[in-house]
Amino acid sequence: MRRSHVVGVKRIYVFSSIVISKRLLAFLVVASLLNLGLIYMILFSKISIPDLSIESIFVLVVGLYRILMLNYATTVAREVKSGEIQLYLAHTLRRLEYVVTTLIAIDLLPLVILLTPYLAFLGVIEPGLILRGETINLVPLLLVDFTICASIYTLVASRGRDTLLVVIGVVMALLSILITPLSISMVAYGRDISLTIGYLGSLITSILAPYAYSVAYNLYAHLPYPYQPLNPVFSTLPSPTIMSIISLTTSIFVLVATILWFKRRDV
Amino acid sequence: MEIVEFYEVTKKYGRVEALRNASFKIPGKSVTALLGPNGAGKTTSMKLIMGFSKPTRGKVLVWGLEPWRREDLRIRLGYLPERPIYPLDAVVEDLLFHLAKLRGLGKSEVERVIKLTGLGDYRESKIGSLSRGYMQRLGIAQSLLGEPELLVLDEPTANLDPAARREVLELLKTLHKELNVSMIISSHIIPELQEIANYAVFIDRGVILDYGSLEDLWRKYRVEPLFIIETLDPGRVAKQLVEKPFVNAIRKLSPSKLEVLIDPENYKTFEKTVSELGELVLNYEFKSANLGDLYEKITRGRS
Repeated sequence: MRRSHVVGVKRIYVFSSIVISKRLLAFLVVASLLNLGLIYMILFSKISIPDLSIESIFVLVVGLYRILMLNYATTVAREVKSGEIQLYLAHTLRRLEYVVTTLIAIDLLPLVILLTPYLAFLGVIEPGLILRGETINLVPLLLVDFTICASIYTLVASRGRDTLLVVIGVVMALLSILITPLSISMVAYGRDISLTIGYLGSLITSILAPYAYSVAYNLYAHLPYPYQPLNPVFSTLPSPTIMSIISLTTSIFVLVATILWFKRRDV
Repeated sequence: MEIVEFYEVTKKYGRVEALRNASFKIPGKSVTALLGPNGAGKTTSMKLIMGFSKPTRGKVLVWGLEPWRREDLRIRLGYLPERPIYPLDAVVEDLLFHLAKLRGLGKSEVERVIKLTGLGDYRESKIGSLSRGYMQRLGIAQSLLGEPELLVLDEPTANLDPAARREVLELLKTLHKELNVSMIISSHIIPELQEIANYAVFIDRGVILDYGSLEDLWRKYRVEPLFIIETLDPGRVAKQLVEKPFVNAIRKLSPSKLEVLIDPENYKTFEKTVSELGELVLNYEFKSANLGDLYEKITRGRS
């Protein structure tokens, strides 16, 4: 028998289709409703107003998608918990392939679905905005944001902890929708303890919610008419680009740790 | 050649020792009964064979390779898990097709296993609607995908009513005859595998009590093998057999059937004697001695 370390692309494809076909209808219904709302906001809102930019709308949607991503994460967690995973491993699926498939189901599918209205948006805006790259920078940021979220979900799902996963999912959504904008505003205008808490919160959320961090940071950094001067310490916040790179590196680290741990665990 | 070898294998789950210094070997082309009460370490042994678990100490080899490290080994194995772990809302045929695709196989393989296991009428049923007996048939069907060389069947008759248990055992017997595949079958109901197994591993509280071919074990523990002879003239056959020193008892089961208990060391001699009776004997079948008796003697010997 020839020993092979090559990941079976075909097996990953086949298993991805098995995993994705589970609860696909529920997933698509929720995703479609979310996307319809998003398309409505994109097409009919005054996106020229700075605090209602397309990026800001996406902060809310990304937060909701973080909960939607739990759909497949909990499916995998239950597979691990119930032992259903044995069925797939017995049919030649390898542990590494299982983790990769999990990541695809949790990360890539929602990302592709979310980007559909975004692409629709690109179809209706002024071409010059696209050419100047002012809108396209959303895509890598979303990828980084979804990847950190999916890597954490994959880690927890591979341990079969479905209840913990739901708790983490809600926290991740709140980080994106609420905690990140709040932390940044505390850095911008807070005093004493609230400033310190805001700064620490910003550092954490810049890694765990890089998209929301980037939007909130840019919103305050480029306010045309701030009603009061920003705290000087605001300028010491790390740039969203650097934090996105750190976030992506963290995702890769979490995924490698998950794979190494999962290869050693009993199923 | 051995297909499975355990060398002083210990498996711990936290502080609990599921297996303790377990050593045994299973030869190829055998039907092995892995027997022991609940919690004896049977499922742990099977998971180690499948490479789902890593031994805490010792070495597990399947065809000379470590299944824990060699995930590619599983293409040669078929596995029936102890509990039904199938997605209940999936359709029987769809699940089998998905699993076949993972092995790089097509619809024809699904048709083959459906036919072999008699699932034809339930191919479009949801798994959740199947009776436990048919759920086990589905389990056996999926384990047969890809014509594995070794079937690892964890408690295939667990939680079944007597009729369904009978059906599953008959199915396994037929499969062994038709496919000539090696099997390792675990059960906590000690006597139920005696009609199908020719090799046994006895296990209790994580310790291997003994293992070997049933023939050797009958002899070793002096458990009398039992034959069923079908004949048109039971009186004449009984008269001829009773004179033999290795025949211990003869009992008439029906107008055409005799049950014969023999000395364990004269198994081959008995078979020769029966064949010498020529046309007088229509058929004979080794029913084996009672595995329960053997288990009792082995456990008594250990205590």
